[in-house]
Amino acid sequence: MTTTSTTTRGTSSAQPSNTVEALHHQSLWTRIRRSWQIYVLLLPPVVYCILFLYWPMYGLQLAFKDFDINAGITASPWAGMKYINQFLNSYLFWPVLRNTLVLNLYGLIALFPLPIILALLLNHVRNSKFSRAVQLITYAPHFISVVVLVGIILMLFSPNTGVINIPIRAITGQPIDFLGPDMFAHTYVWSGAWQTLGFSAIIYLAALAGVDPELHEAARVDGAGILRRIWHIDLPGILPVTITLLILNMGQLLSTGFEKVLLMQTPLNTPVSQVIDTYSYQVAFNSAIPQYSYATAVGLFKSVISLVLILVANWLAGRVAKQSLF
Amino acid sequence: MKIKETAGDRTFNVVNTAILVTFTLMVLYPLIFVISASFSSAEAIANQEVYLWPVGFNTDAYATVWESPNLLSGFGNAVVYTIGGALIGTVLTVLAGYGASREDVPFRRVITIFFLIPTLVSAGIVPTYIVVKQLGLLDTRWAVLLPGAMSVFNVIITRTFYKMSIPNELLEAARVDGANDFHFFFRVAIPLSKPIIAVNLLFYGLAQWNGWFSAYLYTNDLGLAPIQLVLRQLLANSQIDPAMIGGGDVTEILKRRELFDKLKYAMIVIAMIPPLIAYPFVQKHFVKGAMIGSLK
Amino acid sequence: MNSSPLSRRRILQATLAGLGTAAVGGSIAGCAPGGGGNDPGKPSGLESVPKATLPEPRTDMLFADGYVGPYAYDRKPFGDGTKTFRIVVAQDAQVVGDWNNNKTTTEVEKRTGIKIEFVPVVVRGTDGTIDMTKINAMLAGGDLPDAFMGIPFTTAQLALYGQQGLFLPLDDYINTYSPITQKVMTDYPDLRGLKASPDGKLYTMLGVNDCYHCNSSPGRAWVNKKYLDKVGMDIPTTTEELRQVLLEFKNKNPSGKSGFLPFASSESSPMDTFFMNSFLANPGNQLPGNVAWLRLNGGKVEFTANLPEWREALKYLNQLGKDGTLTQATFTMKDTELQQNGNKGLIGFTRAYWWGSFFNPVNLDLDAPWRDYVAVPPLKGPGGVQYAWWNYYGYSTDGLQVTKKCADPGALVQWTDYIMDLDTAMWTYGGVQHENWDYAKKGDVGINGKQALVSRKLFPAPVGTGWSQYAVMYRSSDYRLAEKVDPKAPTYEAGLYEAGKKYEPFAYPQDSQLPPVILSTEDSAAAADLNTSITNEVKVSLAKFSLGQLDPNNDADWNAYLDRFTAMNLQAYVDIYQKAYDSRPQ
Repeated sequence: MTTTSTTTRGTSSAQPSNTVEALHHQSLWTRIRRSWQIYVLLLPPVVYCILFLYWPMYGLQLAFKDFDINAGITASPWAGMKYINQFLNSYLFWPVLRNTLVLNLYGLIALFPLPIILALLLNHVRNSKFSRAVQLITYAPHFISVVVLVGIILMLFSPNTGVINIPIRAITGQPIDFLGPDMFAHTYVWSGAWQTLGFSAIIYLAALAGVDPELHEAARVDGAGILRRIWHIDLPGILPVTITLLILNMGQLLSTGFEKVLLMQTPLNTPVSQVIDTYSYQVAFNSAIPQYSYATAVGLFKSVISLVLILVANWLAGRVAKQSLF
Repeated sequence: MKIKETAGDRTFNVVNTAILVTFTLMVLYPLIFVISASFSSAEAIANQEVYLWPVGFNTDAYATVWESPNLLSGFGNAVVYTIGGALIGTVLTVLAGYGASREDVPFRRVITIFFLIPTLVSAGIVPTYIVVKQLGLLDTRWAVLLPGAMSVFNVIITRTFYKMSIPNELLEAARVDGANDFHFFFRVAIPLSKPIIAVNLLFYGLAQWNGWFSAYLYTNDLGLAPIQLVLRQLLANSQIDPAMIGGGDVTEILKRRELFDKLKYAMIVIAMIPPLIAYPFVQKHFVKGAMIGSLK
Repeated sequence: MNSSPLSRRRILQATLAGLGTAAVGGSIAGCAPGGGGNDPGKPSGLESVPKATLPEPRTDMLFADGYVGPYAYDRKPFGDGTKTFRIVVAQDAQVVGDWNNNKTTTEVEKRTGIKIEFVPVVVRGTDGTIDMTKINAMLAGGDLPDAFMGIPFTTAQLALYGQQGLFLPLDDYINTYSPITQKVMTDYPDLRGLKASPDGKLYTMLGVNDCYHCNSSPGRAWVNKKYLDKVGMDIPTTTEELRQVLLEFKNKNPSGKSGFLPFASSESSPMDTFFMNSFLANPGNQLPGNVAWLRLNGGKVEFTANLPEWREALKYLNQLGKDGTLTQATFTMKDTELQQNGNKGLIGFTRAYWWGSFFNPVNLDLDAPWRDYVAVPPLKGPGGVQYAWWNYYGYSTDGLQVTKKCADPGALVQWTDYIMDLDTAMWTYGGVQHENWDYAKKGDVGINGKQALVSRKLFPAPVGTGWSQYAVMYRSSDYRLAEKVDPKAPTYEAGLYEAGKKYEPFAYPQDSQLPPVILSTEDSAAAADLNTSITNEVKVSLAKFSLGQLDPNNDADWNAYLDRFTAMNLQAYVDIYQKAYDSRPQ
């Protein structure tokens, strides 16, 4: 495996070698026949997807129906765009959309590079025992539940009883309200760093395992320092994985999960902390009967927007980094 | 050949170590806190006296967990689900990831998009429940293993790995030697993909170990419940809506609340131990050049 | 309304706990088992079944004068031990243990002759709130047991599933098989209306849990008597007096500790239930169903949070904010922090449900610090208004629903009747008789000071012996308050009862409270959405007006506040509830 081919590896319209190119000139049917074994390999996961991921999607029509539990999903009466419109016209629609995008974009920009940096640093530690110990410790917070995590955040950062605010209050006379509307986004995003960095770095470590150490040797002989080597060897080596994860994360830009936000929400920070998922949760909570149709409609909205985001991200990646998913 | 380190490199190493040590200490803090809290008295926790070391040391929380019914079966179930889930998920993901990574296959774009769409569109709890029911899986172990067995996220990432690490030249060379696709997949591609296989095993195993929702939703028999569900139900039963206070129920609430305060930390510690034990086994596949070695 | 066979039976009876003439409301057409809700035919064969009657109640236990509540009867098992029914119940590994391996389950089987296979399902999340995900999935997936018991369905869900045919209408079965339920409906005449559906039918067995102090809980406030004495003031009776008390607390710091909070509350505790009721009758959003600040005014549904009196209340809170006694802490403090502050003795005055909201743990020592806190009755506002928050309709509880899958609904209805018997109910609630509970002796005193009925050793009952509170029960107020108390070891019960008594005289009139109504399915989605926007706005603006970020004295700020409600279509919300109120079953 040579360096020159790695940069073009990830593109779907790669520069194929002769035999592969030759294949593309054959008829479609011939090519299908020649690839039958690949199709066989793909069969179990495809069947799985159809059964457990695609088949339930018939439930998406609930977004356009009034759900009658006795009649079932298919036989329920149609309601048209009623629920979609209710969401789009809701008084809280723009605020929750804005808050969701702000929190998630901030989180993405701030936190996306960090696991990469961690993986790179770990990869270049000379003492492998130290590196492995750090990996082990930093991956453990992943298992701490949201409730406990927020409890720890409050214990440290609460404007009322928080430990960190004691010296701050001594110096400035006023505690910093880490949960207030000004600081909420920062507290929310960076507390995630604690918990997720070590775990997210794993995938980059796996990618770095594929970088040929001889490349580094050769570069060292040529006099390149570690930072230059990281820049020219490691980063290109993990670029495909980075782009893939970035595009996938763009598709998740509208999902925050509601638990952590809800635990950190107060009447004072609600204008910036009310996101789509907490809104959905509160609507369900405030309703005497389950709102399947409305929940499905909100979910469908999220899916459509996420699709657009992924398409844009994919196209951008193809333009800028010459790598895209499809 | 031993080459002298440049001054830049030396600085880098020092800074690197410093950063990693700082970060590790920052991350270590909540871990130590959780462990200490799980050994502290409920009163001390309520009074926020616990910051680093246990206050009012006791092992009540663990005793409670130990005595809870279904604990042993919960543990056994979790082991079954973890191993089963890791294997099923990894097999499906590797098949899908490899298959989708091949550039010479017609409809490869369709295949990739086929796997990509479920990351965006999720049908929801009720339709999935209906499907599981129609497949006759309710109240069986398969209902815990199969829904969510394969994550399309992992498929897309695995696909990227295969694209990165299996060059076309390799495929050509194998073809010249007369190998067919199956042969190439099993004899060449899989050995080369140890890191990504290790990652998948880890992620799927952890997902099952931490998981409780599928068992909660699809099974009624407590004998099928994995440990996280058993513990979670313990926790749920120890919290009471204050609106339910009335009669002598107040005593009940207090007993339950005490239990809850003690339990939530112990649960995390218990949940953390096996993954911490398992990780080093996975780690050795992330060693620099692990993949290249096999290639050579 | 009553068919003649019923009246004939009446004449033959001479029980004290007689059935009365208005047994069941309305001659509602029942359905054949398995039929949909619109089947006009009566359940097949019910007319030929002799109506169950009650013998004389047992007299081997003591009832206080004027007691209204469950009695015990000597009855033989009605089943022959061959039938088994599947009932989904709430899972509770801590108290009930294994439902199918439980002393009460065995006892009930003996007494009724019916076998039950219980299917426990978790219905609470780890934060204590109700989590019906699994139950809803089971229903939507068509995975039906014979019945549900103790599952927290909302009345709207009962109506919906009943009308859609999943649950059977039970009036005719009750008429035939459950004389105790008929008696409950006499004792609590409004009960059926609370649980019946807009189509007039009743799709659930009725349970009662009449908790006296719960009726005032969301509006209670507490003050530390010791600190009051230290600053030389009395319990405040007007809003102005409270203001002075808070100022004294702030200036003199009677606790002597740093970090003392004259007024502390958790951000999840509503303040408007206490303060606003000194300016207008305000149910807030604390009534079941989370109805957002709606009340009745002469039969018209009215929103309270944009009225001129609300503005006056905001001005009062704003003044407290300016005084520095109402601080940001009130709107940012989480429940655990409040408890920590309470434990340290840093709280002067608080708006909280009970002592456990601001103390943790709350033990029963006679000198425990929480005992220093006494309830503050409602304050009189500058306009002379002095109301207490009250819930007039809080006594109904989860019952038993029979599904369309059940082959013999009558048997389950009769089974429910049997477990509502006082003696059997004590088993379900208290565990094994003589081991964990007994009937009280003459002279034992109950919570309300009258002759006690039962005395208990341990609460809750040891695991595996009882059903906690999940059975269908008739726990009337008299029954609950007839539990023996040990005057030497007062529990919270007595204190909460006393607190409730202080609030009751000031309760706003019953016709100010919007009773529970069932929204039509079309309206419920819109109502949930509107509710979320409205609730957000009321809470956020309350905080801002109190802290001075908005000024209630400033017309521009107030009008902008009013305009926001118009922008979110508040009128539609009010209209939906008016419609539901006007068309509710009587």
